[in-house]
Amino acid sequence: MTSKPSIVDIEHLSLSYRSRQSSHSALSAVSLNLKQGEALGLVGESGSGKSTLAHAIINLLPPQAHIESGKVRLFQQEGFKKRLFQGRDIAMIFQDPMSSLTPHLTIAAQMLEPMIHVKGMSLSQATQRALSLLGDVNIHQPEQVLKKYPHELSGGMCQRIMIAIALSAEPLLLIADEPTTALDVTTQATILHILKDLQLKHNMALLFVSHDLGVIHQVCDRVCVMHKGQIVEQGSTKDILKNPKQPYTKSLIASIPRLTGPKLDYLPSQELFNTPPHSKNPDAAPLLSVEQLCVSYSTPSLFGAKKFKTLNELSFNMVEGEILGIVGESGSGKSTLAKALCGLIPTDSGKVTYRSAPLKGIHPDLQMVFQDPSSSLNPRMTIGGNIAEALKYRQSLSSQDRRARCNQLLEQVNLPPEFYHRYPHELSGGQKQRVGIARALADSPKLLICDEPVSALDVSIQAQVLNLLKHLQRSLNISMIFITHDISVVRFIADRLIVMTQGSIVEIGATEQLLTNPQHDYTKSLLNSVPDINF
Amino acid sequence: MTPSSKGISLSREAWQRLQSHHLAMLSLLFIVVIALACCLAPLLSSIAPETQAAWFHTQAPFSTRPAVKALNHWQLGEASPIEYQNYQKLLIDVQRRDYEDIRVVKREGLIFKIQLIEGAMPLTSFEINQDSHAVYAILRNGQIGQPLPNMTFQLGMIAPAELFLAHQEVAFLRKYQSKNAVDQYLIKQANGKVVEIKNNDQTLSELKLKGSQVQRIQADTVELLITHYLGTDELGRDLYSRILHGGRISILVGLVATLVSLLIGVSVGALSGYLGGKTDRLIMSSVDILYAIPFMFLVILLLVNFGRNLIMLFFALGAVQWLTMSRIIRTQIMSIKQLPYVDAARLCGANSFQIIFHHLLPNCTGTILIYTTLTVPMVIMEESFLSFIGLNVQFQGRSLDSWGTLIFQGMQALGSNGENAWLLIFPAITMGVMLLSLNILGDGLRDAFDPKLRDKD
Repeated sequence: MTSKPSIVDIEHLSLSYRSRQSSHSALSAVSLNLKQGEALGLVGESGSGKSTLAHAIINLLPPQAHIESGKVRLFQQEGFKKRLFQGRDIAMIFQDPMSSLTPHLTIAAQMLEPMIHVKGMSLSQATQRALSLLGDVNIHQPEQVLKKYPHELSGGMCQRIMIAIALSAEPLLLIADEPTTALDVTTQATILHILKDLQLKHNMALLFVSHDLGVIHQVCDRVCVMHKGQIVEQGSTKDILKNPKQPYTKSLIASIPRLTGPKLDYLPSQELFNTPPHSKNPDAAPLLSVEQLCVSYSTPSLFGAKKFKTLNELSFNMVEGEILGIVGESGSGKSTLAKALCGLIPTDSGKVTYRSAPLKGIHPDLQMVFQDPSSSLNPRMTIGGNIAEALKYRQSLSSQDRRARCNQLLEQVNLPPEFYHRYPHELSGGQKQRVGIARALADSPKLLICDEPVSALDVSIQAQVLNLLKHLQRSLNISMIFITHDISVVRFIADRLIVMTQGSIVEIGATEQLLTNPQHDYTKSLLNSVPDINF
Repeated sequence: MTPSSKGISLSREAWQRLQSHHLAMLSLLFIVVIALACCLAPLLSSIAPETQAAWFHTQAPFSTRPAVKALNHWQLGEASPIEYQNYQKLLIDVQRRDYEDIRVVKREGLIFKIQLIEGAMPLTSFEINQDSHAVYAILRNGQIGQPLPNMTFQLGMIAPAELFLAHQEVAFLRKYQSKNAVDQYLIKQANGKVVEIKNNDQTLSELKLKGSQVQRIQADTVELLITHYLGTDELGRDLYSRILHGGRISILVGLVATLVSLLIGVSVGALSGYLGGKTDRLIMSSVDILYAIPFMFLVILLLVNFGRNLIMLFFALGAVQWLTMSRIIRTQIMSIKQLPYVDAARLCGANSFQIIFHHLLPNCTGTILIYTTLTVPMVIMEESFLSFIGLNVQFQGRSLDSWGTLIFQGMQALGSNGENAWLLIFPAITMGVMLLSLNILGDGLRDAFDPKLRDKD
């Protein structure tokens, strides 16, 4: 290891973002070293400075960023000549593959251009090389893909093409900034596989930035855990996952829901709950039963409307007091199902029965918690105003009673009562999601539908919100439909599980049973692609 | 996060961001100052904009004249004109009317012609003797100039330099029949009533004076003067007062027409965006059709057919401006109505009315405000254009002058060498500053409401 040349050397780098009024520190005294052929993971929650560090290496910092002290040495040379390294010795892959490719140029134009200009290849040479690179990233029929435009390809394909473009210049250092965050689990697994293979094959140095320890574990030999602009701990990935030394790393690893190991009642986090689960009677009449539900979207065109089926004859039951998990990749129709059940979008055919009465339109007993906490609160209303929505329209409470109920709800979701007068943009993502939960609970619903409530949150916040949801479900004795793409999360929270793909249900069963003994191929491939930190 | 329990709303945050945008704040100051000055026009200018002093003609900025009206009448025992009622004693210098005007023409340095203007009677010689007859030079603008020194000249003589101004071939002289060019009248008043009128030693029972005759008016010990800060136009109207009063019309039209467009545009846009589907397509198709009509033509037709009154103008301009507003609001509403908080409100039992007024429109306020700030200058410009082509607003048969009218008239009165340029420059600067400020403020507001937009460029 020591004989290999060092690619990146960072010594005590401190960096801050300055605006006219204030400056806040983004990195403080960060030191790290990356050698040739090594894969280094940078892991941390949002705002921990991991992306800033990655951008500092290739000098892509925004103008507000100001280096206070420290040095970045690339290829054992002082400082960096910006144009020299970019594109030839260093390549970067970004989070969103769709917006990294220019939409009005074909893949061929975007792939061949750097080869012709930087490497000075002829057109036929470049085409040959592009085809072999596309083969490297497991793209079938590369000749046809070259002629296509980015919007004709899936996100995973685009990311693979980005990797191929990045590799075309045979860089010594590849920086991947959350390259799989926007992708589905199965796609993610392929991409990670390709990245790891190519890294070994080309003997590149790889800097892999991610918030997901599981992903890092699959790709990287070494990992740096970042927190609030500092490297808290670094070492070999296995060591850190097995024996984390710092309390922050310990809590970070503990708060990740696991796919294997004992099923936890609550995830370890700051708030502690010990509400016991209610006993359920599986033979009782179902709370909600869905029969042959079909939903389609129609796009208006000049001659009539085109219809796209998004839900295809779904049928399932759920009993009172249970948590029903629905898992599936993006586009599988899980969010459509949530909206259809709530009555937010019309259904085509099928029957939904709630407490043995047909469910039509919006029912006060059904409430929803949304995915994106920032857009699910009205930014022009105070937190109090947002929570009081449900009380305002359906109940005739005096303003004092309404205020009292809001305070009670804030207390239930563990938020201080001062938040009543705050505005959504003053709160963090986790706090906003708590407000969203409080609003959903305001009208004492019987069935709470949570549509990916934690997928926009950091791992430690995710654990807190998951615990809170479980605790509320138990203490208020409500039923819950929990929609997510993350099987580990669903294992922690759900009693029963529905696996969906392309608008249909492929498997229903008790969570543990279904996960340990999956029947359908799709469930199996889903389970196999989850990057797990247990080994 | 601030420790106070009161939150900072988005609007307050936008206001704070706007405050750090110095240019926008300066523009806001200009707008407020100009708008306030126009609102308080009667306090800031003692002269009504329509007051004419035709004898005074076009005068440069900061010229002064005696404070008299076109016709002034004092009668013994009656009340004095209202503006003089507070004084005990008035001393009025009146130009005598018993004079003859003489023209002297010079050719090749010699006196070529001496002529009485009335009757064009030729003279052979002319004597100036200030002790018996006052003789003054008449300036090019018709005003009386300096008294001339005593001299005698005749045809064929070398022309005296005092007589002719530089490079001039013709001189005009005014010869009075008496030693004094002016008559002095003394009016004594008590409790606002005229007690005594005296001319030299003669007591009169009434005095009628034309404004053009009065050379000087002194009340008690002060000389009563009117200063025209920005000069006058060819009818002797005060430009300063006219700009302030014209601003009232321009700003009023700008504001009200924008409000009309706001009202129609926001309601149509919100309805169309919220309902979507067929209704949306129907409404937007109608908007497209209306867009296709050449709108200035439409406004001109409306004004010509239904009269050029203010209400008609508000309606005509507003009815044109709402199209863009409705499109912008519709797009905004369409994107906002897909956000989860609208779904959440629906689940909470809110009806369409509550969703539009509590959730959709409040989240459009930024856009509405920005677009309003940009519409006002557009409407002011359009109104000016209408005034410029002579379709200015009329009220009770009297035409109301706006900045556009002033610019138009200033352009006409410019003169062959642009010697009356101030008549064009001052209204144009005022309107330009107002329009520029409104546009900069609009840009500042856009940055304040959408800080991401500014970071990107």
